[in-house]
Amino acid sequence: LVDTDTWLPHRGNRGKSVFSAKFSCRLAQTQHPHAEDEIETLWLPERHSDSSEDIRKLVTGDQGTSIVDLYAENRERSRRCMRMGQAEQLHGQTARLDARFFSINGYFGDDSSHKSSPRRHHGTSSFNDNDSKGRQPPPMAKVQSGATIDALMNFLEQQSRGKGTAPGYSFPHIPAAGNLTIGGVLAVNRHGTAIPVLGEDICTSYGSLSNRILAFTAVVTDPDGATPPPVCDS
Amino acid sequence: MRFVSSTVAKVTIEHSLAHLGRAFLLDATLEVIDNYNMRCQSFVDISPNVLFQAPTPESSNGHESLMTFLQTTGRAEVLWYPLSDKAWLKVWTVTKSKPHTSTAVKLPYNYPFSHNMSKFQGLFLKTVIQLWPSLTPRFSRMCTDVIAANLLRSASDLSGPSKNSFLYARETTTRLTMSGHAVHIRRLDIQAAVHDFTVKISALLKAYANNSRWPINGPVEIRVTGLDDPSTVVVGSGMAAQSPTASSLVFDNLCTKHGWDVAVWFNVLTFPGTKASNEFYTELESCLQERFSGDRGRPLCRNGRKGGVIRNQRGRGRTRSLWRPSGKPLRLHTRQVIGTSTYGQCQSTTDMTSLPIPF
Repeated sequence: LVDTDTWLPHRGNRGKSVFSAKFSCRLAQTQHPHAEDEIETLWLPERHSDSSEDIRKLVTGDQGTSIVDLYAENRERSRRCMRMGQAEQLHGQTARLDARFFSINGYFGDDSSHKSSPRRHHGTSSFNDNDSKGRQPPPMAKVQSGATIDALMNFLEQQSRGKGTAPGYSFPHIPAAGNLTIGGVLAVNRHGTAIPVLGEDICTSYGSLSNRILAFTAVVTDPDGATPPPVCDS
Repeated sequence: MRFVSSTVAKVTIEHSLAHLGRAFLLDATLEVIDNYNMRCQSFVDISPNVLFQAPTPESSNGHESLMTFLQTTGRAEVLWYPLSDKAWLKVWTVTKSKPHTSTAVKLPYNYPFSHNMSKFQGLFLKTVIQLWPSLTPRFSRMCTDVIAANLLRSASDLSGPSKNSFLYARETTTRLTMSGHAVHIRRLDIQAAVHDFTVKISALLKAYANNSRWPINGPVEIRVTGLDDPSTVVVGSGMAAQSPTASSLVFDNLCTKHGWDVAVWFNVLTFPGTKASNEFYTELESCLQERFSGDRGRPLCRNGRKGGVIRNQRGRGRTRSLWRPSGKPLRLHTRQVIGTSTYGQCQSTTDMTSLPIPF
């Protein structure tokens, strides 16, 4: 990455931004009984008094540009329905699309090769519990924020496990510029151009790439740190 | 204060999914789908009057209206120089195999004419058009003619894995200033929205031209996407996904109430610093807010500083103001390197303009 000063939160807004991420963690812990499973600290820096040193340690290493892993294995398939727009309904046709989603092995901790994968749920059956539609977790890719769209799309296309008409994996639509980083794309909810149509064997979100986030890793204040995080009245 | 990294599930972070503020995003886990082959056809022989025609009763709907293409393939993009008589319509179709007439492409970026212009050439064109703005109509026609000629030569019908036609803009593509809005509407109303918008912008430009002012010398870009509907996101049992709060495509109670399920993106581009462009953008935004109010739609501002572009031609970040739908300016700061979220939370978004000046 670039020098740490460039990446430090802006002085005037530091407190607010730190709070935002911190708030996410707290919310998760208070509102979800299994929050411990949903939040996992991937790695911790050594304790330093200088916060910028913490951040430097967090972002060094692989320069933040690699695609960490693809959590997908086509082991099982299921079908579910998706709400369609009114245009289809007016045609008198069914407003349903069949979709295929895949169970995922390594993502749930069964596979020891995914040591750094977030443990949102234990056991592959958790997506099916109390779910009459039998929704299975989709394939997903964990990508660092510095990787470009070009790099990600090349990586996805090179995967051998996809079952589509083209090799690997993709998205329903992406921005036209491939030199954007994932961090930048998610910051401004970039998108391409596509809406679902009948007869297409793709059933997923047609919103922005921000709506495809299933989890992310962010730098937040240490809840066990010596200095308490800022408090926000709102 | 000490910092650590934490992984957070989507269900609890809706306010952070777009515009993460100034926090550091290290990585994100994104849902992907099976890859697919796509055919990308380009049309330049459909008159904008036909493409943007007013919606008619379904039985007699024109075969070449934008909505017709969208209903068939779901994927279409229009690039239209408002002062010219042609539009570049790209239509993507998901196909199982390559059609016979289609050219197979193994790599992306298959419109080299749109990004082969050097910085000097871009600066030259900008200087000329801003020194002699009355050349704008001729410039617009020239651009569409060059696009048409190049497309016919090699790239009017491409086929290959999805990314090869998705990606077509490079960093060398000429940078233009853009004002963009995502208009949330019902899918049924797409053609009407496009028709009204194109009629309005044409009328506005004509009024400006009558006063010898030419604020827009780039194209208008029209795209259509779904909204950030959380029900389409697969999460674990007992959890419910949330729509990204600050997204231009946020799916909230208003969307449910009025049945809005798509967003039409209207992007209007011009060279940075073109005279009267800010005034024009302001006027256009007012028109959008007037046309799409109440249950008729909702335009969310995407970009629009006073000349609002995420980066100028040299790619350097700078402070600017973004305008929210309320009209209240919001000071933000952009950075040269887009590697993490750097924006405050607001309903406006920005976009790097990457735009085909076809040389």
